[in-house]
Amino acid sequence: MIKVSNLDKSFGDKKILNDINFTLKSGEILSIVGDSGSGKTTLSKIILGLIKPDRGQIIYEGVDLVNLGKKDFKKYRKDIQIISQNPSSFFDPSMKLGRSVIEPLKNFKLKLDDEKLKDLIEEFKLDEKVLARYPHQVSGGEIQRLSIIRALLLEPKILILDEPTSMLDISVQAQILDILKRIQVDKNMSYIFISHDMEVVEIFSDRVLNLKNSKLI
Amino acid sequence: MNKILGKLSIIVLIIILLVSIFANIISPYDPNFQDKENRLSGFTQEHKLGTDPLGRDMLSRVIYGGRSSILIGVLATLVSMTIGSGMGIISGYFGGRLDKFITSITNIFQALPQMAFTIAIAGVLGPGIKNLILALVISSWAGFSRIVRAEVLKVKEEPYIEAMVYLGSSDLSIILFHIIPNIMPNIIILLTTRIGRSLLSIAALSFLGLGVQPPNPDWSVMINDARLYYRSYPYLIVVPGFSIFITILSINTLGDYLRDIFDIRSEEII
Repeated sequence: MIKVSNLDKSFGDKKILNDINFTLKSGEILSIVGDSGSGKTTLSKIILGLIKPDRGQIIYEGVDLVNLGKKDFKKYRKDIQIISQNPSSFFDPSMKLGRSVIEPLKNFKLKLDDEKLKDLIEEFKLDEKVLARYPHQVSGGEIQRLSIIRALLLEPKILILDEPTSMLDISVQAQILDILKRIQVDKNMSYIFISHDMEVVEIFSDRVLNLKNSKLI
Repeated sequence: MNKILGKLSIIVLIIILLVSIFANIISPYDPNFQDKENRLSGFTQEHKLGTDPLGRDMLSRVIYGGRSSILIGVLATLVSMTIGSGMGIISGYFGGRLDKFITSITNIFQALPQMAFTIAIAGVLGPGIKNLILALVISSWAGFSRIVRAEVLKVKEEPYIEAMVYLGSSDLSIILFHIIPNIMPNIIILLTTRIGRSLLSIAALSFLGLGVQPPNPDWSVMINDARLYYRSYPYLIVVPGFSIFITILSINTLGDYLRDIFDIRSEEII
Protein backbone atom coordinates (compact mmCIF):
# COMPACT_ATOMS: atom_id res chain seq x y z
CA MET A 1 0.00 0.00 0.00
CA ILE A 2 2.68 2.47 1.08
CA LYS A 3 6.40 1.95 1.40
CA VAL A 4 8.62 4.25 3.44
CA SER A 5 12.35 3.91 2.77
CA ASN A 6 15.47 5.48 4.24
CA LEU A 7 13.62 8.44 5.69
CA ASP A 8 15.70 11.04 7.53
CA LYS A 9 14.56 14.26 9.14
CA SER A 10 16.41 16.74 11.33
CA PHE A 11 15.38 20.03 12.87
CA GLY A 12 18.58 22.03 13.25
CA ASP A 13 21.17 19.77 14.82
CA LYS A 14 18.60 17.41 16.25
CA LYS A 15 17.97 14.24 14.27
CA ILE A 16 14.29 13.35 14.66
CA LEU A 17 14.03 10.48 12.20
CA ASN A 18 16.97 8.32 11.21
CA ASP A 19 16.75 5.84 8.36
CA ILE A 20 13.09 4.94 8.81
CA ASN A 21 11.88 1.95 6.79
CA PHE A 22 8.52 0.23 6.85
CA THR A 23 5.76 -1.00 4.61
CA LEU A 24 2.07 -0.69 5.31
CA LYS A 25 0.04 -3.41 3.66
CA SER A 26 -3.48 -3.07 2.34
CA GLY A 27 -6.04 -3.70 5.09
CA GLU A 28 -3.38 -3.69 7.81
CA ILE A 29 -3.32 -1.83 11.12
CA LEU A 30 0.27 -0.92 11.82
CA SER A 31 1.00 0.63 15.18
CA ILE A 32 3.91 2.94 15.80
CA VAL A 33 4.70 3.42 19.46
CA GLY A 34 7.21 5.68 21.10
CA ASP A 35 7.72 8.22 23.84
CA SER A 36 6.60 11.83 23.52
CA GLY A 37 8.99 13.72 21.24
CA SER A 38 10.23 10.54 19.59
CA GLY A 39 9.18 11.80 16.14
CA LYS A 40 5.84 10.02 15.65
CA THR A 41 3.99 13.20 14.68
CA THR A 42 6.85 14.32 12.42
CA LEU A 43 6.63 10.99 10.63
CA SER A 44 2.88 11.37 10.13
CA LYS A 45 3.33 14.93 8.84
CA ILE A 46 5.91 13.71 6.33
CA ILE A 47 3.54 10.99 5.10
CA LEU A 48 0.80 13.62 4.77
CA GLY A 49 3.13 15.80 2.70
CA LEU A 50 3.06 18.65 5.20
CA ILE A 51 6.82 18.64 5.71
CA LYS A 52 9.59 17.38 3.45
CA PRO A 53 12.11 14.84 4.74
CA ASP A 54 15.84 15.47 4.36
CA ARG A 55 16.21 12.14 2.57
CA GLY A 56 14.17 9.10 1.69
CA GLN A 57 11.21 7.86 -0.28
CA ILE A 58 7.50 7.33 0.33
CA ILE A 59 6.17 5.16 -2.45
CA TYR A 60 2.39 5.14 -2.86
CA GLU A 61 0.72 3.68 -5.96
CA GLY A 62 4.13 3.54 -7.62
CA VAL A 63 4.79 7.25 -7.09
CA ASP A 64 7.36 8.80 -4.76
CA LEU A 65 5.27 11.31 -2.77
CA VAL A 66 8.39 13.05 -1.44
CA ASN A 67 9.30 14.41 -4.86
CA LEU A 68 5.84 15.66 -5.73
CA GLY A 69 5.05 19.33 -5.91
CA LYS A 70 1.99 20.83 -4.20
CA LYS A 71 -0.23 20.43 -7.27
CA ASP A 72 0.77 16.86 -8.06
CA PHE A 73 0.42 15.82 -4.42
CA LYS A 74 -3.23 16.96 -4.36
CA LYS A 75 -4.18 13.88 -6.43
CA TYR A 76 -3.14 11.65 -3.52
CA ARG A 77 -4.18 13.82 -0.56
CA LYS A 78 -7.69 12.41 -0.39
CA ASP A 79 -6.28 8.90 0.04
CA ILE A 80 -4.20 9.68 3.12
CA GLN A 81 -5.97 11.33 6.04
CA ILE A 82 -5.26 11.82 9.72
CA ILE A 83 -7.20 11.86 12.97
CA SER A 84 -5.29 13.81 15.57
CA GLN A 85 -5.31 13.63 19.35
CA ASN A 86 -6.60 17.19 19.81
CA PRO A 87 -9.35 17.52 17.19
CA SER A 88 -10.89 20.75 18.44
CA SER A 89 -7.83 22.68 17.28
CA PHE A 90 -8.20 21.09 13.83
CA PHE A 91 -11.60 22.71 13.26
CA ASP A 92 -11.86 26.35 12.23
CA PRO A 93 -13.33 28.16 15.28
CA SER A 94 -15.17 30.64 13.06
CA MET A 95 -16.98 27.95 11.07
CA LYS A 96 -19.96 25.81 12.04
CA LEU A 97 -19.07 22.14 12.37
CA GLY A 98 -21.47 21.05 9.63
CA ARG A 99 -19.70 23.26 7.12
CA SER A 100 -16.28 22.14 8.34
CA VAL A 101 -17.23 18.48 7.95
CA ILE A 102 -18.38 18.78 4.33
CA GLU A 103 -15.83 21.36 3.17
CA PRO A 104 -13.16 18.75 2.21
CA LEU A 105 -15.67 17.09 -0.14
CA LYS A 106 -15.98 20.35 -2.05
CA ASN A 107 -12.19 20.71 -2.09
CA PHE A 108 -11.87 17.35 -3.80
CA LYS A 109 -14.93 18.01 -6.01
CA LEU A 110 -16.84 15.11 -4.45
CA LYS A 111 -20.61 15.04 -3.98
CA LEU A 112 -22.05 14.97 -0.50
CA ASP A 113 -23.96 11.77 0.10
CA ASP A 114 -26.55 12.83 2.69
CA GLU A 115 -27.42 9.24 3.53
CA LYS A 116 -23.81 8.38 4.16
CA LEU A 117 -23.36 11.37 6.43
CA LYS A 118 -26.54 10.47 8.28
CA ASP A 119 -25.39 6.86 8.70
CA LEU A 120 -22.00 7.94 10.03
CA ILE A 121 -23.60 10.38 12.48
CA GLU A 122 -25.83 7.56 13.66
CA GLU A 123 -23.00 5.05 13.84
CA PHE A 124 -20.92 7.43 15.95
CA LYS A 125 -23.95 8.10 18.17
CA LEU A 126 -24.04 11.83 17.54
CA ASP A 127 -26.95 14.21 17.53
CA GLU A 128 -27.36 15.96 14.17
CA LYS A 129 -27.70 19.23 16.06
CA VAL A 130 -23.93 19.31 16.64
CA LEU A 131 -23.49 20.19 12.96
CA ALA A 132 -25.12 23.56 13.63
CA ARG A 133 -22.68 24.38 16.42
CA TYR A 134 -19.22 25.90 16.59
CA PRO A 135 -16.22 23.86 17.82
CA HIS A 136 -16.16 25.53 21.23
CA GLN A 137 -19.78 24.58 21.80
CA VAL A 138 -19.33 20.79 21.73
CA SER A 139 -17.49 18.26 23.90
CA GLY A 140 -14.11 16.68 23.13
CA GLY A 141 -15.76 13.34 22.41
CA GLU A 142 -18.25 14.87 19.97
CA ILE A 143 -15.63 16.79 18.06
CA GLN A 144 -13.34 13.76 17.87
CA ARG A 145 -16.17 11.75 16.33
CA LEU A 146 -16.85 14.57 13.87
CA SER A 147 -13.18 14.66 12.88
CA ILE A 148 -13.34 10.93 12.14
CA ILE A 149 -16.54 11.45 10.12
CA ARG A 150 -14.87 14.30 8.21
CA ALA A 151 -12.00 12.00 7.27
CA LEU A 152 -14.20 9.00 6.47
CA LEU A 153 -16.44 10.99 4.11
CA LEU A 154 -13.41 11.28 1.83
CA GLU A 155 -13.08 7.47 1.77
CA PRO A 156 -9.32 7.50 2.37
CA LYS A 157 -7.29 4.37 1.76
CA ILE A 158 -4.85 5.11 4.58
CA LEU A 159 -5.87 6.65 7.86
CA ILE A 160 -3.27 7.87 10.33
CA LEU A 161 -4.67 7.69 13.85
CA ASP A 162 -2.45 9.94 15.96
CA GLU A 163 -3.48 9.00 19.49
CA PRO A 164 -7.12 9.51 18.52
CA THR A 165 -8.60 8.55 21.87
CA SER A 166 -6.02 9.88 24.33
CA MET A 167 -8.21 12.87 25.25
CA LEU A 168 -11.35 10.78 25.78
CA ASP A 169 -12.61 8.85 28.76
CA ILE A 170 -12.20 5.07 28.77
CA SER A 171 -15.77 4.11 27.81
CA VAL A 172 -15.77 6.49 24.82
CA GLN A 173 -12.26 5.28 23.85
CA ALA A 174 -13.44 1.70 23.56
CA GLN A 175 -16.54 2.73 21.63
CA ILE A 176 -14.61 4.78 19.07
CA LEU A 177 -11.87 2.17 18.59
CA ASP A 178 -14.55 -0.43 18.08
CA ILE A 179 -16.24 1.62 15.34
CA LEU A 180 -12.87 2.39 13.71
CA LYS A 181 -11.99 -1.29 13.66
CA ARG A 182 -15.33 -2.21 12.10
CA ILE A 183 -14.98 0.45 9.39
CA GLN A 184 -11.41 -0.68 8.69
CA VAL A 185 -12.57 -4.24 8.09
CA ASP A 186 -15.62 -3.19 6.04
CA LYS A 187 -13.69 -0.86 3.76
CA ASN A 188 -10.41 -2.79 3.81
CA MET A 189 -8.60 0.37 4.88
CA SER A 190 -5.05 0.60 6.20
CA TYR A 191 -4.38 2.33 9.49
CA ILE A 192 -1.20 3.73 10.95
CA PHE A 193 -2.01 3.80 14.64
CA ILE A 194 0.23 6.10 16.66
CA SER A 195 0.05 5.64 20.40
CA HIS A 196 1.98 5.02 23.57
CA ASP A 197 -0.75 3.03 25.24
CA MET A 198 0.65 -0.50 24.80
CA GLU A 199 -2.53 -2.19 26.01
CA VAL A 200 -4.65 -0.52 23.33
CA VAL A 201 -1.96 -1.07 20.69
CA GLU A 202 -1.82 -4.81 21.32
CA ILE A 203 -5.58 -5.23 21.07
CA PHE A 204 -6.06 -2.90 18.12
CA SER A 205 -3.18 -3.55 15.74
CA ASP A 206 -1.83 -6.29 13.48
CA ARG A 207 1.80 -5.24 13.79
CA VAL A 208 3.75 -2.94 16.13
CA LEU A 209 6.88 -0.90 15.44
CA ASN A 210 8.76 1.03 18.10
CA LEU A 211 10.20 4.48 17.37
CA LYS A 212 13.16 4.90 19.71
CA ASN A 213 16.18 7.21 19.50
CA SER A 214 14.89 8.38 16.11
CA LYS A 215 15.04 4.83 14.73
CA LEU A 216 12.26 2.39 14.03
CA ILE A 217 12.75 -0.96 15.73
CA MET B 1 -22.60 47.77 28.74
CA ASN B 2 -20.72 47.30 25.47
CA LYS B 3 -23.95 46.19 23.81
CA ILE B 4 -25.87 49.27 24.95
CA LEU B 5 -23.06 51.62 23.93
CA GLY B 6 -22.68 49.75 20.64
CA LYS B 7 -26.35 50.11 19.79
CA LEU B 8 -26.30 53.74 20.88
CA SER B 9 -23.33 54.40 18.60
CA ILE B 10 -25.21 52.81 15.68
CA ILE B 11 -28.18 55.12 16.33
CA VAL B 12 -25.91 58.18 16.56
CA LEU B 13 -24.06 57.24 13.35
CA ILE B 14 -27.32 56.59 11.50
CA ILE B 15 -28.56 60.01 12.59
CA ILE B 16 -25.30 61.66 11.46
CA LEU B 17 -25.46 59.84 8.10
CA LEU B 18 -29.15 60.67 7.53
CA VAL B 19 -28.58 64.28 8.47
CA SER B 20 -25.64 64.45 6.03
CA ILE B 21 -27.54 62.73 3.22
CA PHE B 22 -30.70 64.83 3.63
CA ALA B 23 -28.87 68.05 4.49
CA ASN B 24 -30.63 69.98 1.72
CA ILE B 25 -34.04 69.12 3.26
CA ILE B 26 -33.14 69.48 6.93
CA SER B 27 -30.94 72.55 6.98
CA PRO B 28 -32.80 75.81 7.58
CA TYR B 29 -30.54 77.90 5.30
CA ASP B 30 -28.23 77.49 2.34
CA PRO B 31 -24.86 76.80 4.04
CA ASN B 32 -23.20 79.59 2.02
CA PHE B 33 -25.95 82.16 2.44
CA GLN B 34 -24.57 85.25 4.17
CA ASP B 35 -26.90 87.09 6.51
CA LYS B 36 -24.70 90.16 6.77
CA GLU B 37 -26.88 91.90 9.31
CA ASN B 38 -26.59 88.98 11.74
CA ARG B 39 -22.88 88.24 11.75
CA LEU B 40 -21.59 86.41 14.87
CA SER B 41 -25.11 86.52 16.22
CA GLY B 42 -24.77 83.89 18.94
CA PHE B 43 -27.67 81.53 19.64
CA THR B 44 -30.88 83.23 18.48
CA GLN B 45 -34.36 82.18 17.43
CA GLU B 46 -33.45 82.66 13.76
CA HIS B 47 -30.05 81.03 13.99
CA LYS B 48 -30.25 78.25 16.57
CA LEU B 49 -26.45 77.69 16.66
CA GLY B 50 -25.54 81.23 15.76
CA THR B 51 -23.76 82.57 12.69
CA ASP B 52 -20.12 82.79 11.66
CA PRO B 53 -18.12 85.99 10.87
CA LEU B 54 -19.67 86.08 7.39
CA GLY B 55 -23.20 85.70 8.74
CA ARG B 56 -23.55 82.07 7.55
CA ASP B 57 -25.89 79.90 9.63
CA MET B 58 -23.79 77.56 11.83
CA LEU B 59 -26.52 74.89 12.09
CA SER B 60 -26.82 74.65 8.32
CA ARG B 61 -23.05 74.49 7.90
CA VAL B 62 -22.72 71.80 10.58
CA ILE B 63 -25.47 69.77 8.92
CA TYR B 64 -23.70 70.01 5.54
CA GLY B 65 -20.23 69.78 7.08
CA GLY B 66 -20.38 66.07 7.85
CA ARG B 67 -20.78 65.11 4.21
CA SER B 68 -17.24 65.67 3.00
CA SER B 69 -15.47 64.65 6.23
CA ILE B 70 -17.33 61.35 6.58
CA LEU B 71 -17.18 60.55 2.86
CA ILE B 72 -13.45 61.24 2.63
CA GLY B 73 -12.65 59.56 5.96
CA VAL B 74 -14.58 56.38 5.25
CA LEU B 75 -13.52 56.11 1.62
CA ALA B 76 -9.83 56.75 2.31
CA THR B 77 -9.79 54.25 5.18
CA LEU B 78 -11.61 51.57 3.19
CA VAL B 79 -9.17 51.91 0.29
CA SER B 80 -6.18 51.88 2.70
CA MET B 81 -7.61 48.82 4.43
CA THR B 82 -8.14 46.96 1.17
CA ILE B 83 -4.63 47.67 -0.12
CA GLY B 84 -2.91 47.22 3.25
CA SER B 85 -4.80 44.07 4.23
CA GLY B 86 -4.22 42.55 0.79
CA MET B 87 -0.48 43.18 1.08
CA GLY B 88 -0.42 41.95 4.69
CA ILE B 89 -2.27 38.73 3.84
CA ILE B 90 -0.04 37.94 0.85
CA SER B 91 3.08 38.77 2.82
CA GLY B 92 2.11 36.81 5.94
CA TYR B 93 0.63 33.79 4.21
CA PHE B 94 3.13 33.13 1.44
CA GLY B 95 6.24 34.30 3.29
CA GLY B 96 9.65 33.97 1.62
CA ARG B 97 10.98 36.61 -0.75
CA LEU B 98 7.57 38.12 -1.36
CA ASP B 99 7.21 38.69 2.39
CA LYS B 100 10.65 40.28 2.59
CA PHE B 101 9.88 42.57 -0.34
CA ILE B 102 6.48 43.70 0.99
CA THR B 103 7.80 44.07 4.55
CA SER B 104 10.67 46.25 3.31
CA ILE B 105 8.28 48.59 1.50
CA THR B 106 5.95 48.64 4.51
CA ASN B 107 8.85 49.49 6.81
CA ILE B 108 9.88 52.41 4.61
CA PHE B 109 6.34 53.85 4.72
CA GLN B 110 6.07 53.16 8.45
CA ALA B 111 9.35 54.88 9.21
CA LEU B 112 7.94 58.22 8.04
CA PRO B 113 5.93 60.21 10.61
CA GLN B 114 2.40 59.74 9.33
CA MET B 115 0.99 63.23 9.79
CA ALA B 116 4.06 64.95 8.33
CA PHE B 117 4.05 62.44 5.46
CA THR B 118 0.33 63.08 4.76
CA ILE B 119 0.89 66.84 4.80
CA ALA B 120 3.86 66.46 2.45
CA ILE B 121 1.88 64.36 -0.03
CA ALA B 122 -1.16 66.63 0.18
CA GLY B 123 1.15 69.61 -0.29
CA VAL B 124 2.72 68.11 -3.42
CA LEU B 125 -0.60 66.95 -4.89
CA GLY B 126 -2.35 70.22 -4.04
CA PRO B 127 -5.70 70.82 -2.32
CA GLY B 128 -8.87 69.00 -3.30
CA ILE B 129 -10.93 66.02 -2.20
CA LYS B 130 -9.37 63.49 -4.62
CA ASN B 131 -5.86 64.47 -3.61
CA LEU B 132 -6.81 64.40 0.04
CA ILE B 133 -8.06 60.82 -0.28
CA LEU B 134 -4.91 59.85 -2.21
CA ALA B 135 -2.67 61.43 0.43
CA LEU B 136 -4.47 59.59 3.22
CA VAL B 137 -4.30 56.25 1.39
CA ILE B 138 -0.60 56.57 0.56
CA SER B 139 0.29 57.47 4.12
CA SER B 140 -1.86 54.92 5.92
CA TRP B 141 -1.99 51.60 4.00
CA ALA B 142 1.28 50.42 5.55
CA GLY B 143 -0.21 50.44 9.06
CA PHE B 144 -2.88 47.99 7.92
CA SER B 145 -0.35 45.83 6.12
CA ARG B 146 1.92 45.45 9.14
CA ILE B 147 -0.85 44.58 11.59
CA VAL B 148 -2.69 42.25 9.19
CA ARG B 149 0.57 40.44 8.37
CA ALA B 150 1.17 39.83 12.09
CA GLU B 151 -2.38 38.50 12.48
CA VAL B 152 -1.99 36.20 9.47
CA LEU B 153 1.30 34.83 10.80
CA LYS B 154 -0.45 33.98 14.06
CA VAL B 155 -3.49 32.32 12.46
CA LYS B 156 -1.37 30.49 9.86
CA GLU B 157 0.27 28.47 12.63
CA GLU B 158 -3.07 27.18 13.92
CA PRO B 159 -3.56 23.43 13.43
CA TYR B 160 -6.84 23.96 11.55
CA ILE B 161 -4.98 25.79 8.79
CA GLU B 162 -2.54 22.89 8.50
CA ALA B 163 -5.53 20.55 8.46
CA MET B 164 -7.02 22.40 5.51
CA VAL B 165 -3.90 21.57 3.49
CA TYR B 166 -4.37 17.80 3.73
CA LEU B 167 -8.13 18.25 3.47
CA GLY B 168 -7.52 19.62 -0.01
CA SER B 169 -8.11 23.38 0.33
CA SER B 170 -6.30 25.63 -2.10
CA ASP B 171 -4.29 28.61 -0.86
CA LEU B 172 -7.03 30.94 -2.07
CA SER B 173 -9.79 29.13 -0.21
CA ILE B 174 -7.65 28.92 2.95
CA ILE B 175 -7.16 32.68 2.76
CA LEU B 176 -10.78 33.49 1.94
CA PHE B 177 -12.59 31.05 4.20
CA HIS B 178 -10.21 30.45 7.10
CA ILE B 179 -7.66 33.25 7.41
CA ILE B 180 -9.84 36.29 6.70
CA PRO B 181 -12.82 35.27 8.91
CA ASN B 182 -10.44 34.62 11.79
CA ILE B 183 -8.63 37.94 11.54
CA MET B 184 -11.82 39.89 10.77
CA PRO B 185 -12.61 40.98 14.36
CA ASN B 186 -9.22 42.65 14.63
CA ILE B 187 -9.47 44.20 11.15
CA ILE B 188 -12.81 45.75 12.12
CA ILE B 189 -11.37 47.28 15.25
CA LEU B 190 -8.47 48.60 13.21
CA LEU B 191 -10.80 49.95 10.54
CA THR B 192 -12.94 51.89 12.98
CA THR B 193 -10.00 53.38 14.86
CA ARG B 194 -8.41 54.34 11.53
CA ILE B 195 -11.61 56.01 10.28
CA GLY B 196 -11.46 58.11 13.43
CA ARG B 197 -7.81 58.88 12.75
CA SER B 198 -8.58 59.76 9.12
CA LEU B 199 -11.28 62.19 10.25
CA LEU B 200 -8.71 63.84 12.49
CA SER B 201 -6.17 63.97 9.63
CA ILE B 202 -8.80 65.51 7.33
CA ALA B 203 -9.55 68.06 10.00
CA ALA B 204 -5.85 68.86 10.36
CA LEU B 205 -5.23 69.06 6.59
CA SER B 206 -8.30 71.20 6.00
CA PHE B 207 -7.22 73.39 8.88
CA LEU B 208 -3.88 73.85 7.08
CA GLY B 209 -5.66 74.68 3.85
CA LEU B 210 -4.69 71.39 2.16
CA GLY B 211 -8.02 69.61 2.43
CA VAL B 212 -11.55 70.71 1.74
CA GLN B 213 -11.51 74.24 0.42
CA PRO B 214 -13.65 77.17 1.58
CA PRO B 215 -16.42 78.14 1.13
CA ASN B 216 -17.43 74.42 1.13
CA PRO B 217 -19.10 73.66 4.44
CA ASP B 218 -16.88 71.22 6.32
CA TRP B 219 -16.36 70.74 10.04
CA SER B 220 -12.60 71.24 9.85
CA VAL B 221 -12.91 74.22 7.49
CA MET B 222 -15.33 75.70 10.04
CA ILE B 223 -12.74 75.26 12.79
CA ASN B 224 -10.12 76.89 10.58
CA ASP B 225 -12.43 79.78 9.81
CA ALA B 226 -13.05 80.29 13.54
CA ARG B 227 -9.38 80.73 14.46
CA LEU B 228 -9.47 84.50 14.82
CA TYR B 229 -12.76 84.66 16.68
CA TYR B 230 -12.94 81.65 18.98
CA ARG B 231 -11.84 83.51 22.13
CA SER B 232 -14.84 85.83 21.91
CA TYR B 233 -17.16 83.38 20.18
CA PRO B 234 -16.18 79.89 21.40
CA TYR B 235 -19.29 78.30 19.85
CA LEU B 236 -17.62 78.78 16.42
CA ILE B 237 -15.15 76.04 17.40
CA VAL B 238 -17.22 74.07 19.91
CA VAL B 239 -20.06 73.28 17.45
CA PRO B 240 -17.98 71.72 14.64
CA GLY B 241 -15.46 70.34 17.17
CA PHE B 242 -18.22 68.52 19.04
CA SER B 243 -19.53 67.12 15.74
CA ILE B 244 -16.08 65.64 14.97
CA PHE B 245 -15.73 64.36 18.54
CA ILE B 246 -19.12 62.63 18.65
CA THR B 247 -18.61 61.04 15.20
CA ILE B 248 -15.19 59.63 16.09
CA LEU B 249 -16.39 58.42 19.49
CA SER B 250 -19.38 56.66 17.89
CA ILE B 251 -17.21 54.99 15.24
CA ASN B 252 -14.74 53.71 17.86
CA THR B 253 -17.54 52.40 20.09
CA LEU B 254 -19.13 50.72 17.10
CA GLY B 255 -15.78 49.05 16.41
CA ASP B 256 -15.67 47.52 19.89
CA TYR B 257 -19.23 46.32 19.51
CA LEU B 258 -18.65 44.78 16.08
CA ARG B 259 -15.53 42.99 17.32
CA ASP B 260 -17.63 41.27 19.98
CA ILE B 261 -20.22 40.28 17.39
CA PHE B 262 -17.65 38.88 14.94
CA ASP B 263 -15.76 37.00 17.63
CA ILE B 264 -17.66 33.72 17.54
CA ARG B 265 -15.71 32.48 20.58
CA SER B 266 -17.41 35.04 22.76
CA GLU B 267 -20.73 33.31 22.04
CA GLU B 268 -22.39 31.36 24.77
CA ILE B 269 -21.14 27.81 25.34
CA ILE B 270 -24.02 25.36 25.09
